[in-house]
Order: sequence, then C-alpha cells, then structure tokens
Amino acid sequence: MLNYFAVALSALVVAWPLLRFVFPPKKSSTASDWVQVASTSEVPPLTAKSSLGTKDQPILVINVGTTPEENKYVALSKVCTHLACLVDYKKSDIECPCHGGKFDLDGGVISGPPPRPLQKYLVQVRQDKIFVGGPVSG
Amino acid sequence: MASYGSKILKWFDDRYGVKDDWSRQVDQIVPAHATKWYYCLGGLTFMMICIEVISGVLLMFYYKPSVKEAYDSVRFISTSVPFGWLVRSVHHWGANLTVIFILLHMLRIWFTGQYKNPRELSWVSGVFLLVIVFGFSFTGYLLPWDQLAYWATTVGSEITGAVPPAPLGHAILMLLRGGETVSGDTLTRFFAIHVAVLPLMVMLFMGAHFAMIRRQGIGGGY
Repeated sequence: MLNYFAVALSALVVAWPLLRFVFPPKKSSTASDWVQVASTSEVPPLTAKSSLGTKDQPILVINVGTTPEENKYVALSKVCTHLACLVDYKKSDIECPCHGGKFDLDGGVISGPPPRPLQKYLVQVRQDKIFVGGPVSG
Repeated sequence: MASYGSKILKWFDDRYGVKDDWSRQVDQIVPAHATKWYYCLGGLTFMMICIEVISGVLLMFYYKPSVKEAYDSVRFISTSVPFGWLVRSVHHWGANLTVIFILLHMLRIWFTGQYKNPRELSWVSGVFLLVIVFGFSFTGYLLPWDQLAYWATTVGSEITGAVPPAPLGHAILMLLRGGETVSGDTLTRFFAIHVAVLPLMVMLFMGAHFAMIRRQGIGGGY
C-alpha cells in the first residue's frame, strides 16, 4: 500500500509541472502601455537610470536638463544598433562597451560602428514618477 | 493491480499471442556479474535520452525557430511559462549528463574488454551514437539564438571550411550554414537537424545497439 502511495506521489510530482507547462500561461496583464521606471528624485540633471520599459525592453532614462529647475527626460533603448550589446550613459554621451560605438544624448550616432540611432521611447512625468511608453517611430 | 495487468495482457494474448514476446523482453535474467553499478551507465544514457526527448518535445510547444522570435520565445519559456525554467534546465543539464554518461559507459566497455569479438559492431554502433549525440549538442547550442549561440556556431562551423581541398571544405560549410554566414537559414536548418534528422538516426542506431545486446547477452564477467 505504501509502495503504491509512493509511486502515485512521485508520478504526481513529475506530472504536475509538465501539466502546468503544456497549459498556456495567461498573457501578462502587466503589459500596459506605460511603465513606471523611476521617480524624479532618482534622476537629477545629467544622470541616467537603467530600467525595463514596456515588454521588458532594457531602456535608459536620462535627465538631459542642466540645472535642478530644468528637468528634461529622454528614454532610449539600451540595445546598441550594432550588435545588440547594452550601452551605458557617460556624462556627455552614451557609449557601447563592446565595440566603442558612441551616441549623443538624443540617441544619434556620434562615432563607431552603429548603423542607426538608438530607439527612442515616449516619456511622461506624472507627479514625481517617470513613465516610459512605446517606441517613438521615425 | 497485478490481476488487472495480467487481465489486460491476457486480453491481448488471446487475440494477438503477445505473451511470449512480452515475457522474452521483460523476464530477462541479468547475469550476476552485470549487477555492479558501472554496468548501469549504458542504461543511464538511454534514460537521459528519453528525458531529453520528453523535455525537448515540451520545449517545442513554445519555441519558434526564426531570427525574430527564437530568442524571445526562449526567454518566454524561461520567464513566463509555468515550470518553463525547469523544463529548459532539465533539457540543458540532461544534455550535459548524456555526454558524460556516454563517455563513462565507453570507459566501462573499454576496461572490461567488451568491444572485442563478437561485439565489434556494438562498439561501432556506439561510436556512431556518440557522434550523433555530439551532433545534438552542436545543433542545439544555436537554438537560443543569443550571442553565445551565434558565435559558437560561427566558430564551430568555420572548422568544416578548412577541410581540403578548398572547394570541398567550402561546400560542406555552405551545406552546414545554408549560406556564407550564420543566419536565419542556419537556424531553421539546425532546428530541422536537431528535432527530426538526429532523433531518427539515434532511434535507428539505438535499436541496432540494443538488438545486438539482446541477441548476444551482456558480456564481461571475466
């Protein structure tokens, strides 16, 4: 009797994950149009924060304002347009660690191998929270 | 339980006469010398291949072999599908274990001298199986379509281009990559080899491997 119980239990332990696996997961309800990525206090002028935007795309939120009164936020994809390494913010420009591509704070290519500017994303500030939306076309 | 089993067996036996074939397969007596742990390595390899087949079929439920979707579908399996991380990890580590068990199994055969007459073809078919499993490893490595996969396949397939004479090496390279460089054509090609060509070959050679063992019995013990 105990043997049958042990067999049934181990069968269940194996079958349960497999059964869960084959039933499709719910499409995540968090895939909304806007994602909160930071609060304004986290990104003072001339700093940046790495975060995940909609569909978990890696993005860089940069405050390109020059004085504490003048905050202006830009959201760029962190994915280098050359070979998809993740770029980093470096004070006056954005640099790709893999092959030395450089972008300006608007995503445009300054130098190096990248063939296209970085993808821009929509940014909104609601109260003191920064939200990032979908990609800006063109 | 046992009576249900024998009733079902009797039902089939009454109609198709399966009892002898069944008991010939199931009631095998394992010779005493073959009950040491290192005689299990071949069986363990077979078990690993079964696990790879099951977890691989499950991964195919969600995997999409295209440049646009491959990486995202693998990420989806690992992050969003319930127990997807488990199935993918089992497939990944199972693949590693398969190679390890095969090599240990080979060592056991080598040191007990069982590759010798009359079991030469068991050894030869086993070597084919090892090469087939290497083929699984090589083609499967590309499928996640990340940087590691891309460059490992670029480097690995480049080797075939060095086969002399140069036109032959280049022809093999083109056959493997489906083009001058590793691209989406390589991905679909490797996927087809990984899930269709190699599984058929592994079944064929394992069938032969096992049939020869059944006919000749487990060697060793001297």
